[in-house]
Amino acid sequence: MPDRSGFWPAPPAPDARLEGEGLSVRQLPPVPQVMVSGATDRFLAARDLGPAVGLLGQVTPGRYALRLARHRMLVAGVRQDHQTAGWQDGVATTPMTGALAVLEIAGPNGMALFARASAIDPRLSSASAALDFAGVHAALCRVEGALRLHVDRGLVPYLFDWIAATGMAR
Amino acid sequence: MQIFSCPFCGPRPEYEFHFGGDLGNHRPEGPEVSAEVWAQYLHFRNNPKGASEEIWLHMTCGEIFALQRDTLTMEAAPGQALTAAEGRP
Repeated sequence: MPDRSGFWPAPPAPDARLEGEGLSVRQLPPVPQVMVSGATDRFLAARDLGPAVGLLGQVTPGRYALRLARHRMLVAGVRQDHQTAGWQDGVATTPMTGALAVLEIAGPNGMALFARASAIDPRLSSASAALDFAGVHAALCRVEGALRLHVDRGLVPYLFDWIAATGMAR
Repeated sequence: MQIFSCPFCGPRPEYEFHFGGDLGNHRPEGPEVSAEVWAQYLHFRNNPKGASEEIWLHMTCGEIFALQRDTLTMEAAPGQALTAAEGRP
């Protein structure tokens, strides 16, 4: 059987980082994440979380919730094991820590990268943090002056390639 | 870039949306549906020149909504959320 291992790009190293003028992109260590569907307000109240924010919403780095749809949100900083996940009291929970990587986009040119990745007008507020970022589904928020992009973990090599291809960071 | 307005998310670029067909083209129900009715449902489209009423899907949030659009001028009114029973705003 032919060796096709060279065809597939190796994922970026855990400490991989792209640097450019006024721009730094790195993958954060695994961030605990839970997808919550159904009675999302009940989940937020039970865990003493603030309201789920929309696109480019400002959140605190520890625990936060991103609104994805009317009855769905992504909660970061909250752990949920697979044994207790599922439907309970009108709330469906799914652990997403392994499924979603979190990229931190820092620096004054972070919004310039956003402008390359999406045609959304950042001056307009949007109830949903979900967006099409460089052709892939993702969720985007602001954390302490940086952007945080939650995206399928398997697409991180592609995104690193795409960002490098823009010439804004290498 | 055409901008559509999702009833939940607000204005978003067109590549985040997917066309879902004519508004009001409901699937025929029951065992006695004729071949002509099935053909009408499956294969015939309104394809108007000018004002049209369509179903669109916002792929990032999953919202399915009604959109009034002008196929001539490309003007698009803000999307309207659908009621589950009617399939209409």
